[in-house]
Amino acid sequence: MAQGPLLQIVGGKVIDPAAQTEYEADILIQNGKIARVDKRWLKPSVTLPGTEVFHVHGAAVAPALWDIHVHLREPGQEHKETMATGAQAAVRGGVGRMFVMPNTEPAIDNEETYKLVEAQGKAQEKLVDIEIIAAVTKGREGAEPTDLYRLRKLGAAAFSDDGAPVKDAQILRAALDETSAMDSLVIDHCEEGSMIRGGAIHEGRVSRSLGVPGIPRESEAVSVFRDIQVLKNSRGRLHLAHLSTKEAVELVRKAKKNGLAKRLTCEVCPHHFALTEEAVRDMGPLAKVNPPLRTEDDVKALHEAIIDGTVDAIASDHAPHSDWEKNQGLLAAPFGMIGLETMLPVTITYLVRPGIISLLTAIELLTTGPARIMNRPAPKIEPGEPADFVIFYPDRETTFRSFASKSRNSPFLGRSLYGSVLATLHRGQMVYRNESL
Amino acid sequence: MMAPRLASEKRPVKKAAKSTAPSRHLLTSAELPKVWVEALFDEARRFKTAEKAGHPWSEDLKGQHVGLLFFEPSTRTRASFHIAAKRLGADPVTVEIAFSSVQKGESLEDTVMTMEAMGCHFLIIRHGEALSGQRAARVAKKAHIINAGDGSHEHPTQALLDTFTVLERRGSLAGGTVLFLGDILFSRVARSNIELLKTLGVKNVIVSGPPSLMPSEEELESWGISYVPELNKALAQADVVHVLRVQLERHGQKMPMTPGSYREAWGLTEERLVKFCKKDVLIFHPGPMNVGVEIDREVADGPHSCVLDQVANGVFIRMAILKRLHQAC
Ligand SMILES: [Zn+2]
Repeated sequence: MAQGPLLQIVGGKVIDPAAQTEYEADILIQNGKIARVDKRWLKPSVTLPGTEVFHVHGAAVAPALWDIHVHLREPGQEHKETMATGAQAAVRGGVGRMFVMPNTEPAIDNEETYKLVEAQGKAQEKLVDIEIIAAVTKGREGAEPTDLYRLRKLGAAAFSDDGAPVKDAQILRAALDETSAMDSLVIDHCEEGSMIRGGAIHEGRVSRSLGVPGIPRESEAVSVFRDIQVLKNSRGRLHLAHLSTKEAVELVRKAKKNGLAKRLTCEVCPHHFALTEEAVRDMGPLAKVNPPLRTEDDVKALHEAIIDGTVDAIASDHAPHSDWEKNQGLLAAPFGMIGLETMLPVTITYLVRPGIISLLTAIELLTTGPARIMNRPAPKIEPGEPADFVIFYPDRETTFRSFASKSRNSPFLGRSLYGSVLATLHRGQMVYRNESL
Repeated sequence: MMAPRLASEKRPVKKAAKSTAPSRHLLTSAELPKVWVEALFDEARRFKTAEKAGHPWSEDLKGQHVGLLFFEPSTRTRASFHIAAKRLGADPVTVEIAFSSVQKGESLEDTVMTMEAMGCHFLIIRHGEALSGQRAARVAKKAHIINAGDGSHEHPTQALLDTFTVLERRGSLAGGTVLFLGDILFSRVARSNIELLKTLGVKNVIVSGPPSLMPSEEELESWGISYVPELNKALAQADVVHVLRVQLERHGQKMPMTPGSYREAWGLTEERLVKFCKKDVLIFHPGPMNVGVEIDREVADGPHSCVLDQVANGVFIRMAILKRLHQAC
């Protein structure tokens, strides 16, 4: 049998959410796969001759993260991000698989665009797995459904009009029904457009003091309520993206209790559980995101929903924009912030270190949770499985002075966060290595 | 002035006892007594044998007028009733609704009463709204009302001719599985057929097709039928397959699938027929067909297809219906 070079990761603490365990172990990697997992049980490591050894004492070794909500800007807005720069950002953040949203220009709503994006994504497969979420309606305009069957056949992982909700409730229902027959799902962005009308940030204390039009919290709840009612009468699976309010998570919690647990899932984003509307005062447009940063009450409610399992996953909603676009001021600047590189550190800094959840739960929300939403087998740390890992120091701080992303619209720019990524492995290859750690 | 109808008709509808003969109307296949259906099939068989033997047509309905009130276009059903009436010696009267006073605001009830006043003994009604047959029956004083399709609700004469054709080809349906494939949600053909099959004691009725064109689980359960989402599995079980006409757009709502995708996902293709269906499967389609969408040309014209039998038997069944309703009172 042909033998590739051996790589041994020595001294790390394995975080394995699929098995719900943490243990110290050395991992041997060969031919892109996990060859052996040797639990050390306080014994010193035994390194094998002829093996490259990577010492990671004090670091955590977890399955590479899955980010199910990413905006790459190719095609159409390559000045903000390309598949290539997005892949670089992903590996720096420890992300091994990402699902890209269809709000490109043109939207991913037909075979031709799908194949183009697929090819661009494939070009990055040495670094990261890129999967495509296709649009529910043509141009994401809400009027004409796309050919879900055809797009699914091409490989679309899920369907979403993200950036906007699926406007027509009847189309949403038909899409839920149809995707159920294709083992796929619909991902909805919850926002009742008629309640927004030019709003730029959360409608509340800050919007009033700055005199900026606000986005009311009800805008999200109304849409979540609609979606749950539609889901009830359909056959499909629905995933609600980036929930930001107390009311929204409460609606999901109730719906799951009332029999929808198998068909309804939701995600939250790091910025929503880490920051409040107050961030807008310091950061201005860098803190302008949709849904907007909310209040302390909402942040607390998101924490509770994360603790009690109402929330199924953490996703970045990585949304790059160039400096000149973000510098247009609060009203004119586009919504969104990048997040691939800071997703893990923000989660550790704001959820794990304050003791809200354990590191194991955090990794679960970043790996097995997303996998379950997509109805995929959870990434496992076992011989024979692909060697896709993120290796990071949970207790070390990094100050984010630059990003691999083509854009740098992050409120965490210049800030120190815990949870520094040391290395990312993809199919056994070290695709990122932080030389300064 | 309209006389108020009998008080009994205003009571909540109770299922009629299945042993009694139906009323003078044929509005739904849900409440047809089994013995009535069997007698009807005997009658249809006699007409068919007589035709084959070259006997002259009977004159059972001589002097009668049969009004064809088609508020929706339908070449096939209308022609079938027209020929059936002619063969029984009656005079068919077709009302072109598009040019009629209905366009000027006359109601269905007005039209029915007018036609009856002119001497129509039968009124065959095709209408876009559910329960329009019942509405007509409420105002008709003596005429027989026959529902020739009311909205997405029922199409009892189609169900009768379908079932007659199945029995003719197969002898018995006991133990067999009947599959309805496609748009069940909006199909009056499926609804009427399923009711009739239940009356005749067929236990295994299944449906398959796009999830967005299926009734809710509750509704399917109330019908006592099950949804088999994997088409190939559904086909493998079926002794009879009713392929239904699909409309990818309804009430301005498009379903998230193009004709090409529909064929690939849910169409009864030649390949599926060969690969998954029983060797002696019977294929039905009520027409008009979207050839190359819900059914392939090779299947529609192939040896398993009963489509032309359906059309031919339709005339005999409708003759038998006219004759038996006439005899009933
Ligand atoms: Zn969104």
